[in-house]
Amino acid sequence: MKRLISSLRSPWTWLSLAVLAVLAVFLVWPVLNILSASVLARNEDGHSGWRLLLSDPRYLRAIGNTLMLGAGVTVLAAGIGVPLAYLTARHRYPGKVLVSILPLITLVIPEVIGAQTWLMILGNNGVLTRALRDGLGLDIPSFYGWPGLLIVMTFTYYAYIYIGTLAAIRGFDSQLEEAAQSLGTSPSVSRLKVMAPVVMPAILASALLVFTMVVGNFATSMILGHEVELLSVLTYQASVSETGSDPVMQSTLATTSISLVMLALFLQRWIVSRGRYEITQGRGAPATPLRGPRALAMAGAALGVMALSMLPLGTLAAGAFTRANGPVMRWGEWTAAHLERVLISAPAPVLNSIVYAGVATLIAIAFSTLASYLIVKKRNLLTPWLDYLSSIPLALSGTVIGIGLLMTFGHGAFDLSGTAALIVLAYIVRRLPFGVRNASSTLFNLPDSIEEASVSLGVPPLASFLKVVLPLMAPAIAAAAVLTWTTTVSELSASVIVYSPGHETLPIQIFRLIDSGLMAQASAYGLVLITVILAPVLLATRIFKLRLFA
Amino acid sequence: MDIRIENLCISYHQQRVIDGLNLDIAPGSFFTLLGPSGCGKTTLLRTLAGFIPVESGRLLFGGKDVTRLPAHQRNIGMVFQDYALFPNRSVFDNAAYGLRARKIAPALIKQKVAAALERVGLAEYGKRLPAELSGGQRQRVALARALVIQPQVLLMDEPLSNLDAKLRIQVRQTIADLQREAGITTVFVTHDQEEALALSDQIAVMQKGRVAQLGTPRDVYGHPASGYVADFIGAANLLPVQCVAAASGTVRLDLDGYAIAAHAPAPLNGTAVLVARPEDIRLSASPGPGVPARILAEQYLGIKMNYRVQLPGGRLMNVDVHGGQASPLSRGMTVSLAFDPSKTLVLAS
Repeated sequence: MKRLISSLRSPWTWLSLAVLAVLAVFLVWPVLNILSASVLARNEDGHSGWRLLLSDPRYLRAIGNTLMLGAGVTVLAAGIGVPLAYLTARHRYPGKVLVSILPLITLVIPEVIGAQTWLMILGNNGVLTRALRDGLGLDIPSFYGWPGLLIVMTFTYYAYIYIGTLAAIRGFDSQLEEAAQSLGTSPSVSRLKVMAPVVMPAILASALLVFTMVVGNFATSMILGHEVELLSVLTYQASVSETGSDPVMQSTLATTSISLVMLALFLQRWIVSRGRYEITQGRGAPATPLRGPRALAMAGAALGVMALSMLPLGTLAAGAFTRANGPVMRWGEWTAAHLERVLISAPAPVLNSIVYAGVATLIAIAFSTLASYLIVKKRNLLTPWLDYLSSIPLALSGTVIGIGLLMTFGHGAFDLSGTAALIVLAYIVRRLPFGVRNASSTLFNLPDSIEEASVSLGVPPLASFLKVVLPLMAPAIAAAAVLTWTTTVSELSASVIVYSPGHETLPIQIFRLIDSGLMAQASAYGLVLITVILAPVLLATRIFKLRLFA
Repeated sequence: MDIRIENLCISYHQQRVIDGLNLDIAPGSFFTLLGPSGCGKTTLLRTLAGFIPVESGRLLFGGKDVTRLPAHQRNIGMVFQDYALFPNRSVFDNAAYGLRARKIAPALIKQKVAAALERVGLAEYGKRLPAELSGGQRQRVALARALVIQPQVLLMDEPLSNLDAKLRIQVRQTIADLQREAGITTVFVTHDQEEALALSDQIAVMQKGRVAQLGTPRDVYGHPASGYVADFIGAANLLPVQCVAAASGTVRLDLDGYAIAAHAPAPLNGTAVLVARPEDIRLSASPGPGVPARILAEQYLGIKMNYRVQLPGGRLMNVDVHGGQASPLSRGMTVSLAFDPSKTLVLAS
């Protein structure tokens, strides 16, 4: 009781309560709406969503397809990401500089553009498809469906496994391998027996992350899925079908998606916690040069992966300046008309994107800095809950977040429908876990004693935070802001559900143009989108010397 | 400024860390809290600073109750184990931080900071950033920063433990000089007995949130109140023995069948512990009237030799022989141990 009273005197308790309240309204409430509607809502025949889900084979097929796609993409992405990471961590070879930078860039390319550009090459009207058909009379199988889904998603997601594995191999103390060799095992056996078990949790964790992203994937599934029924596509269609939304199925499918992702995340946590040996952060092994034909083959394969990763950018740049008759690209005939349209006659999506993403980034960063400060430095009875709640969006795909916000703020007392606020809200909610995790890790590395030193010298706690802690966090906050910006500007799956006419953002506009087959115009918007994404990154790394990918 | 601690209780993570502590610290004295990790010494220091709330009891600085006063209003100087310098501020700005918070005129700040940096031997380093200094220099800056505000109390939380052996002794000297000069009441936390002995006017040896013994360095080293204190300050040999004594004074007792004399500071009634420091036991090669023992191992330590010997009953003891020059004693030899009755203690266990 005494503790409770004394904690009520502290301003931090009240701040924690306020942050908790905001999370409850904008995050917990929408999720609860989805969960409760999935159980309680009935369609006109009085059936519940779960009954419909189990009785209609379409839905069960969609769940099966989604799981299969998730597994397939995860295996393929690991097949590329793990060897590439090992090669980069342990060896020197021609072209290595490119290989070590490019996966990071693929993370920045919006997913919708990846799907679009692969279509421009291998789709029914694709440049390669047509060249093979007209030149050699070869009919390659349709890119739509499984081939397209697997290829595009693999190249979208392998970078996550590459980065996770690379960090683990670099952090692995090579003395352990030396110890194994000194005890009489050969170098390759030592790697297998000593390094593999230590690195494996990191690989599995990043693989499961990829799996959750495939389950939640919207843009590629929607653009390339066609006859392959997928959970995210059906969920989206239930929410925004032309014949009016299906409130029963949307919440049931959204709940199914949440459950699948949660399952994968719990599995991931279990693996990570099981793999927590005490690893002394040692020196990684020095990179050795690869020589001979084997080296050439490996370097060739690595550079091939890089070339395929960069394909979207090249295609996009060419497509943006290529004349088009409706959906037919006239390759080789150049024009600046598309770009002129995007920048001069119809710039609304560009401006919308910049404003919404800008506002969302500012709010998200400020909020997550405050929340992390409370979580890490001002622990009280409430702060663990801040930590749990702010990681909820990890289990929510963009589609689910969109549906939840629309169900909660699309009508009723807090009606935000028809405003851009819903889009900004969707952006903030999606990026919250990243922001909090990022700020928390910065704060963890900042010893408490610095703040206490300031207080002991006579500066009150709040002023100490502003004068001492905040300036030290500034570089990390700026880096987080830039990364939040890059992912927010390219956000599609949540905003496409909550947007209203007049509030189209660049990804939404691109998505609609792809749907209409207008690839040249989509490319022009895409080029602008990439510029908008990369400009702050270049500014931050070149001029302000921020280390974004530390 | 004297410090008075009355019936202090502190809990940390729902655990009683300090339980009903009473202490008086004389004005201008150098007071050390000594103990192993987890004994509550740092908690007590941080409570004095105002970073940990008091559960019950009172804290008085110079007669004024500061129990509920927030840390930034207590006018303390604090020195941390990890220096806690502001990494983005220069040495000068670090030292000026507290004065600026007190809204002192810039000209005066410049003068005071320059004098403080001069005093710790860092007059030339004002423009440097903390990252450009060595560990010893950083802790000197932290010391200047804490002292320049002329605090009523100086609190130091293991300020030397991040420094290597040589620097530790240098900075220790600086701390001793500055404290004596400024005459500020100082509370110093350490787990290093040598530091405590070298610096303190008073030492409180702490054990599980209580003071096991309070006294001058000579008191706690020469007259340990318990086996715990004797073992913690200087590596004493502790041997359980049987001994009865009606009053304090010299007693005779039986050590593995051999009679020896020791000093009992308090009456004893049976189970007791014999406390003998390695350097207080005399070891001779010729068989004499002492307790026979066999040398199991020897270590050459420069200024002394350390022998590990086995008593007739099988128990082990450490014995130091100063000088360390070529000695006729070696492993396997049987020697005899003589105990000085004035320096060998028997304490109730």
